[in-house]
Amino acid sequence: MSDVDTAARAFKAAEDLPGAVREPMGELLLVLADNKRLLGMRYSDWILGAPALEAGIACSAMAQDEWGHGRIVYAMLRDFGYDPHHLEHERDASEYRSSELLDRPAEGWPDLLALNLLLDTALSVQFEAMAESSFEPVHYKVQKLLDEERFHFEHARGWTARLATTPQGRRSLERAFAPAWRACLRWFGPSDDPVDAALEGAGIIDAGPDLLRARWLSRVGPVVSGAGLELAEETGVGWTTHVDATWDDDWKPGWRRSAEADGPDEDTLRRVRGDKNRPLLMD
Amino acid sequence: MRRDNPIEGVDRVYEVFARKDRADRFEHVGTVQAPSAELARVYAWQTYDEAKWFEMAVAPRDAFYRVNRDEAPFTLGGPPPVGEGSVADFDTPAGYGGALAR
Repeated sequence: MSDVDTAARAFKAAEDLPGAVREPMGELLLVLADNKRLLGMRYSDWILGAPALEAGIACSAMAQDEWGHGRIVYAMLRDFGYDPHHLEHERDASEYRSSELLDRPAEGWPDLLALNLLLDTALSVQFEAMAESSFEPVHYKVQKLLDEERFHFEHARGWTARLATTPQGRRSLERAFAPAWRACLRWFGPSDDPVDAALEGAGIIDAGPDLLRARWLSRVGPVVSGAGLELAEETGVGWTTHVDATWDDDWKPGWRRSAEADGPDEDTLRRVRGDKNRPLLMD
Repeated sequence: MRRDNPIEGVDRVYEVFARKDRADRFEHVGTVQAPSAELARVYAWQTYDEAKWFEMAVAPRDAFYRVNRDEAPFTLGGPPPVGEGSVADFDTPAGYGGALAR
């Protein structure tokens, strides 16, 4: 490792992080872990009942990937003063920082594809921004995660293209993708988010909300556009969208979720915390 | 197919090949059914994950030129092709064993 690399990855553990950055970084990791955990559950809802046996197996594999990613990030949070056991098994719905898109099961296959293409890619774009992070524990974990995510994206792209081959399928995509599109644009946060600015300043992430949104658009734009959905278009300056992301009062900044949504529904919470097997829990 | 069915088109059968090491020969590890090569790649990678493959490739079964036998079913020494997702398909020993067993 060169001197430059060594200097670039200045922070070997949470305790090395500057005080002003430590808490926001912990919060970002918690947001990512909760989204991974809940998204994994949404994939698992379709292991049985996907339109093809192979798609069910793909959902099973993606669920396992997401849970693995979530577990890794929850474990990192120990160094930030969180108790991973509490995080994973003992929180109320209002304490989850996952996107409101994950609060209840995807109603249909197109809704799952919206999570698969739009939200899963948003999470990957955020992780990608930490591939060269100055925070060493994250830097070492990100590449394998992104390697697995490549197949999630291709699954989403393949299925979106397939549904788009019929008018009925395209309508189902339009209905499912519209709310998820706006939620994912919002998910990166407002342009002037002070938390992101602090993290970017410390070299923990390599881009702020606007640039991450642009990277996300450049990834999902061609797919939705190819499917005939009027959500994004390519212009001289890259992919853009006419959909406005506004935050106003309906936003919890460190949580990256709607302030109006209550959190995961009861059944989701019971399952995600492992309530049924609580007596058997082992650390 | 029902007129309001949002899914059109027929899946093709893809033969899946993989090798564990650069020095190994490719072996036939199974089949997947998919509507596109892109999904065939994803399905193959996620279904036949019993090993840490160095390399995996898929090819549509109908791309193979038969040399000495013409009659169906055409397989490459693996299990018979997966049917319509019937229970019997789960019993094929080398078919989906890798994914179901994990």
